[in-house]
Amino acid sequence: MSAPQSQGLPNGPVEPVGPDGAAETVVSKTKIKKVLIANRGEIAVRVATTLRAMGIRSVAVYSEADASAAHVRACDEAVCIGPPAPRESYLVVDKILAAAKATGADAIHPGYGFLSENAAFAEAVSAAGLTWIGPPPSAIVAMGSKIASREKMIAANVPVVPGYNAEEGQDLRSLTAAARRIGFPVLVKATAGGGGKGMRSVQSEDEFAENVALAQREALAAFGDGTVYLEKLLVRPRHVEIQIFGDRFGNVVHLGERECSIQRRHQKVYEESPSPVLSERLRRAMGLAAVRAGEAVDYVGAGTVEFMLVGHGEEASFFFLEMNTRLQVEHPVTELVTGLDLVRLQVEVAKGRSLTELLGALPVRDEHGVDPAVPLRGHAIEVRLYAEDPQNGFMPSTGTLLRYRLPHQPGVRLDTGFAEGDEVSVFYDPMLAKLIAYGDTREHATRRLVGALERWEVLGVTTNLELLREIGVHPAFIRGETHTGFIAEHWPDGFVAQAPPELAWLALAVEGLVPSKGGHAAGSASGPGTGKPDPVATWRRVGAAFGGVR
Amino acid sequence: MSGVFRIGGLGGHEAKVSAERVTGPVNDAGVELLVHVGHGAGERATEVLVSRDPDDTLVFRFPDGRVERAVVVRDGKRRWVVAGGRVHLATEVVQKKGQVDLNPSLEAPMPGKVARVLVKVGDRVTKGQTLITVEAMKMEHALKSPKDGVVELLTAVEGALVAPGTPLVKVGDLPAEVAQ
Repeated sequence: MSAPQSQGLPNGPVEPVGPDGAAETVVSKTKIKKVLIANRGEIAVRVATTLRAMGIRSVAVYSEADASAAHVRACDEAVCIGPPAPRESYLVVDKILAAAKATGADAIHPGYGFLSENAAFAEAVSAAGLTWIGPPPSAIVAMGSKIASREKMIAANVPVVPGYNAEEGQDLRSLTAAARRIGFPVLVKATAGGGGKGMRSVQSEDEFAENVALAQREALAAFGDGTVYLEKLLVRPRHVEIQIFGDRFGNVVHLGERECSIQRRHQKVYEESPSPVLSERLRRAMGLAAVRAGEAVDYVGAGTVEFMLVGHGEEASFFFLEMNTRLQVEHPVTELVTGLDLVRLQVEVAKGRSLTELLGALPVRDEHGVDPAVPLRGHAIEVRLYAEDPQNGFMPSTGTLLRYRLPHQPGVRLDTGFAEGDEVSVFYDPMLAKLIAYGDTREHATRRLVGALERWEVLGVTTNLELLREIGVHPAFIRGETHTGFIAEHWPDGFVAQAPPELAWLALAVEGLVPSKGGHAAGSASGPGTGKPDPVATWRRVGAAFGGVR
Repeated sequence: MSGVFRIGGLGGHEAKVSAERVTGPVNDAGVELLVHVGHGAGERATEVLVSRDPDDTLVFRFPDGRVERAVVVRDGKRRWVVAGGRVHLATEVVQKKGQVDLNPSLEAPMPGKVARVLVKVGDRVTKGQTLITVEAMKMEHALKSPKDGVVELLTAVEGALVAPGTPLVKVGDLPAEVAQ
């Protein structure tokens, strides 16, 4: 195999070529035969699925609350690592390493969340002689602090959101002076965190002091670090992120963008690729910025560079927001428009294979930008189903998934960590599933998505399914007018479901007065009225209801 | 089933429902019922013939010829109602000594810790006002007042660990003479 010839400007580091033209492996190939997945829920199921397809054995770790969880059933082996609370199980490095040793795993995949961006864990994994399926600890550290990553990006010529990195101090006076310099409105953000915690938007100076104190306190509680920094609050920005991939030979490429503008309290709800507004020119430019960001930290593996995009068309400008040194929740939309299995790529890169070997000749960059490493085709939209109660401030909800199924349909993929009958508990993130629809065009993908949302049968916990449906049919969404204030704009008073139909009240009134039919229930020892649950009768009843009452 | 149900959580929709058999020959086609649904001030009575499909789906046949279907699944104190193509969660409003408790306590929704108690007994509060915050799953959740009223009962203590269902605060009606 010959290495790509660079023409004109260098295409970044080139794979070394030996004297006979064959690629010389500078990095020796690592064997990976058994991977321990240091995570739970849908991502653990996801990783296990790819490992099985690659013929690699998988090891699950689980807490006592997850003993019969989907991810345990999805893996070849499983080790219990403690009580339900994450800090007593999934976050305990020693227990995970012990489980790897006990099962003879030779690599660890950290998923997302939990220890995936914990540099100390990454180092401990390598120190234990295991292969870490992720970026080098130095990259994790460099991008882990929002302040440090902003500074690194400025040095790498990647545009950043105008802001203040607290270099003159965390005291109120310095922060206030900086806020005045940036110009209100500003965003106060936690340097150690994400997910909206420790974040406060401040419209004017008179609210500034109070909000800084609130943000610092929340950041200290959530991340153990109350340091905050400031950013200019952008007007109707779009959240557009670029998927990058690096190998151990120094090659860094990008795989296009994902737009994740529709969020509720900084929690992503809808994601899609490609973005409805990105031109090819802008994609190449953002792609190059993202690749430069990855090169600045010698990135290896899957990573995401998040940007804020403001303005339209030729006036659009983008600013670096942060870099996530892990596989992201919404990676499936990229998989569907590129045809790639990103988890498989992660494992192959960890084994020491080059991106040239895996993806073919890598695109050449010029001073304006660089193409995605593979062509993007079609359109994919993902929605996240959460076990939460929209009518109760979106509080997490718990219960048994009495009914939880999606009739199979073409162009629709479901990534979930639950099966019908499973218990949804309080200990972990309330995300139940990701539903991803793919189509030739955005319109096609949207129609498939809405169709699937209509047919999704979820009963036993309250969810945000109604909100997901309403967004999918909203004229502004269909026109692609997505921005981070979308939900706040179209549901200013919060999400209130329509009033229940009169039929619902009638049903509640008559239910106990109409004798149950069917062999199981009538006069039997279980079923309605006897106080003993009859699961089979329940399934049949509920199943027909979804089919019959639409 | 007669009683008062709430659909859609605190601040959702509430109705008093009851049904009685209409006297007449017992029909093979189902049970003839007169159903009363009372929302706030008004009450509606509906005559309907109700039967069950073999899979226990409730089938409603109205005098005007309409036929509709619904399902009710009991889940402990909860009732999941599938009607109109949507799922509704109904909870029975607990009856106390024959009287309906129209001011149920706000309960801790999940295991957590009381972070902040922002009111005291006797405080006048407005609908939507945050009364207590509970820290759970690394976030602060606000418990908001379901209506305009007065804080009647406060058992929440800052820093206390709470189990789900623990009553924390109760908002009663504004005294009649000062109600706006």
